[in-house]
Amino acid sequence: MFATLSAIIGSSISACVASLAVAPSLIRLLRRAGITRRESGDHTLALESRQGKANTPIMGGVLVIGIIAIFTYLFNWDRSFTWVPIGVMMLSALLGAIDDLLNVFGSVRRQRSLSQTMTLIRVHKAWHVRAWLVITLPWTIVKRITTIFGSKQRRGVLVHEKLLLQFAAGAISAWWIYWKLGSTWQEIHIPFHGFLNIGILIIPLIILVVMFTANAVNVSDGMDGLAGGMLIPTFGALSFLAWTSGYDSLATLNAVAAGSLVAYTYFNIKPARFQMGDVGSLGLGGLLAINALATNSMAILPFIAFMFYAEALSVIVQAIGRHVFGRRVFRMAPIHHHLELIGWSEEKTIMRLWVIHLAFVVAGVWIGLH
Amino acid sequence: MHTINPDIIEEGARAVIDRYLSLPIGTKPSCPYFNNRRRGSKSNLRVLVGKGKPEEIAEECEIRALQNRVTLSSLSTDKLKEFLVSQDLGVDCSGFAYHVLDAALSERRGKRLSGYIRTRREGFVGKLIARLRPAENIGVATFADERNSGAISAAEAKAGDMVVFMGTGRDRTYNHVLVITGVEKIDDAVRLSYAHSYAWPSDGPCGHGVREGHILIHGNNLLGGTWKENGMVGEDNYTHQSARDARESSIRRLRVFME
Repeated sequence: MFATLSAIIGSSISACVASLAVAPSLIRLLRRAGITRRESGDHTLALESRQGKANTPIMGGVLVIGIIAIFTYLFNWDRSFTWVPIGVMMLSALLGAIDDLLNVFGSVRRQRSLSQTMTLIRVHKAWHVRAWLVITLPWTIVKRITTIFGSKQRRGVLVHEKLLLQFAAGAISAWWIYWKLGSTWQEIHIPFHGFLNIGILIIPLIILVVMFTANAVNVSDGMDGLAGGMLIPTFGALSFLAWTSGYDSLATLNAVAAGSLVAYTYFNIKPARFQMGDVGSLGLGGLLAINALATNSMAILPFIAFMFYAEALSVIVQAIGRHVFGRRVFRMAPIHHHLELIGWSEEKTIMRLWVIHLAFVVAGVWIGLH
Repeated sequence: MHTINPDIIEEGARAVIDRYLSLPIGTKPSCPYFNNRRRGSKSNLRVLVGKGKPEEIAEECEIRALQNRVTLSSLSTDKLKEFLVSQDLGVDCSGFAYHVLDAALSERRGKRLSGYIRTRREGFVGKLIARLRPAENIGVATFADERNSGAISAAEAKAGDMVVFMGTGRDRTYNHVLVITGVEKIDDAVRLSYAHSYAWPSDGPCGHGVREGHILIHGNNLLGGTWKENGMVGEDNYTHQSARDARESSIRRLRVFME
């Protein structure tokens, strides 16, 4: 058993070293290709404390995603356990990469409001355009509703498109897990109780958890070192729980993620040499969700992903406050921006959130062991 | 000339008025007037539709300043007010009246105004929206609704009552409300002090907003009284002119204050 542990730790160290070696070249490459954070359309850069972040290379998450994928393919390729996590990670990362690239190189996208659509339905000359607008009206309504959860972005993948593609990624994973991998994946460990086989209900649960967790990590990636620093203990905890449950390939996969994230965070702490981008945050969020499922740790996800969920909930609470009650709950969502606006420095915010997150991860591991 | 038992509005309500008169930001400018009627913004923050509390207006101003890279502390009072106006931050007359009267009721009875006002919204969804967003759904017409308030004479007026103009403005489609903040009986006359949020044509782009004035009424002739605001009386006093132009101008008391 300890020989296995040694191999797991060794793979983590190897991933860290490989990432450290590759990172400087990646930073240069991203800078040379012009894949950098643009000032236009990014309202958070208007804050005085964030003005230095413009032109920082983004898509740094490619480093972690790439190292995880390569290490797993070369040393840890296991149909029963590692295919699905890598598949979900790659699908989510692909979506994130498209978003990142469109944000940098894409043109401004025009979004028609609901009232504009209604006006066109009434006045457009061509009957077939009017008919098309009527047929697609429910989708137009969905589009408008989903905008309340996004910032006022005008480039990149729009919120409703992102949610649709994430739903598709979650559905493909759920289908593969339910029909191809058997009952092991349909069990959830309930701490202090035992295992619970939820059968076909695993499908909607996977879709929901993958979508929510991927977006939760995505919204947390708003400060230098924040998401990376919190993902290290989270993947470390998953690796430990997988090892204690005898899932060695999953323990190795999570250890590689944690190791690579150490190197990523080294270059991402303030002032960041590069930023994760959606490619990293969505990819790693998807990987986190599916690995929690694979190690039967879904019930403790609210603990081991505590700060990510808190950040995502702050966005939801802010949207409800704004659109239902007409009032701000936070000065700005997600909550790390609120803390910054009430006067906390970026460093203080990040370190306090790291500490809170770490405490919950430790509690989650303790609960997960029962 | 002597004053008998001056009646003044509750301290909590007075504090709300004072915060509107000097917003808790920078050089403490008075709150501008903003009416969402032209903008027509829906399901937005109440502070962006002219219905915010002074603290909400100040907080939104700080957020906008950060986003626009404006240092509020370096702005003069006039420039700060200009910035507020440029960001569509301000309060309309009914938004102002709602928060002041809510504070008065809260102090007098420990109750919220929204629980005692019947809005004009119809149906389950409409009523639910009105319940969730009372400030946005209680306009002058709602205050003046017979179910919510009743007309009183000038002699009966007390602090916390309202002067309501229905159907004023150039096209007679505007309503307006003043909150009576103090009442003094001076010999055979009554002097009503009031506060409101309003924009006079002579105010220019930024001179409008929350301010105070008074009306000296002899007998029960509200429109024939002497209205003084911004040092202006008679034809120059646009508030008085609006009251005279209105289809109906009256002093009203909320039913919750009659109980």
